[in-house]
Amino acid sequence: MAALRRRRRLSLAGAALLGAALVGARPARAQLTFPGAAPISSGNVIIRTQPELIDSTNGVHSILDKNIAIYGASPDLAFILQSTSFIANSANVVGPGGRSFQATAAGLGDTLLEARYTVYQVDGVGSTFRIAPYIGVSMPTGMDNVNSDIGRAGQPGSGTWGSRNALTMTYAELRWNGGAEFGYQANSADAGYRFGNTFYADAGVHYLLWPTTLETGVPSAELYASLEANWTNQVANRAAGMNVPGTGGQLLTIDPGLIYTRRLYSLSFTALLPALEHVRDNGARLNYGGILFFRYSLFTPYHW
Amino acid sequence: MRARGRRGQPTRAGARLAGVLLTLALLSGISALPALAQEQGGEALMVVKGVTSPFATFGLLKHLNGIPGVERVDFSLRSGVADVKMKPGATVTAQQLRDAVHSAAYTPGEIRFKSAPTAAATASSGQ
Repeated sequence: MAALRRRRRLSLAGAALLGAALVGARPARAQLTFPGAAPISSGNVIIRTQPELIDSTNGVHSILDKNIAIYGASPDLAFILQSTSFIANSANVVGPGGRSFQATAAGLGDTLLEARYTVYQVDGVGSTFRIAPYIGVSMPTGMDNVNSDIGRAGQPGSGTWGSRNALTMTYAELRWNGGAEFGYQANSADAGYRFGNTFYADAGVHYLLWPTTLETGVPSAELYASLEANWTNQVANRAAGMNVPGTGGQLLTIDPGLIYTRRLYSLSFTALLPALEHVRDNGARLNYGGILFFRYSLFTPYHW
Repeated sequence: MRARGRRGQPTRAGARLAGVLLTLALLSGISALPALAQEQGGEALMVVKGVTSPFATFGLLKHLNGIPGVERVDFSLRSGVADVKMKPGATVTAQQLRDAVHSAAYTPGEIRFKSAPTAAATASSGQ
């Protein structure tokens, strides 16, 4: 009985500390971290890997890797499959008698399957404007009971189904491009626990730094400066009909970065810097984050 | 097609008739021109709209190079012009080029055939 009470206290403490960190651990996707409404040729397969580091107060750290496959089924329709692996999701947990220790959970996270359809497209020589909605489903493929000390919110997997729908738009010219995304993620409940639904809005601008002049042909490489903003507003998680302390809130990050791109692959980095943050109770606050991106293009003759 | 006067010069009426026929051909779209657009060998220049970065050219070049008979494709990002060189004796149509650009998620523009063994043909997609 005492052991059960201790475990329950640890779980609640872990949930309280890690709850707000979820905003950082699962940030809204921006133009750099997601293709937005940019063209994807039919048969084009883009493989991306995104190692991410998130550091927050209360000793909350997350190191994770997102692996994404994008497949152009037709000129307008694309499918996106995203799986997340948590290398470490850790937090300072307060145990019985006020003893503090660090708990860590690692393992496979949930899988997200999305479909994107381009509904509006205006192309010019060296320019394009496109609007594309996404619909997606989040599948509970992750491990949701790796370490009970860290609480439900700190597990790699959510254990719940969810839906994610978004509207994106992209404008691109030879020297710069910009985009915006508005989306909503809704989560279902599992065993009395429900992750808070999230509304998110992103905007981003990329400017060509090099080469400074475009000659004939296709440049072998290009270097862009990137500046993005991500805003998320998450409802508090609910457990047994009550708000989980420290979960939910708002976060606005400003993300400067660099993008190096070639015909076959692209490499980029962006920092996540908190500009505005409202957390509930004693929730963890984002200190900083960083995301490294690598994407590679493949081609398959199988498409519509 | 061109009406001529007694001294071999185009008459005003003939020029007007040619203008009307050209306008009708353009208004009716490319569907009236595939027969002219079919060439063997040679080289085609095609405007491709919507391409803005080297990464975006990957799918475009894959689709253009996938057309049977195409030997080589060069693309200029600045001008948006694809230079499609066909193998000697190979046949490619403007419609094949347009379909390849559509499949690559871009918009085809004007197509012009160069170095054709017969009369050169110019086609416009009307987009």
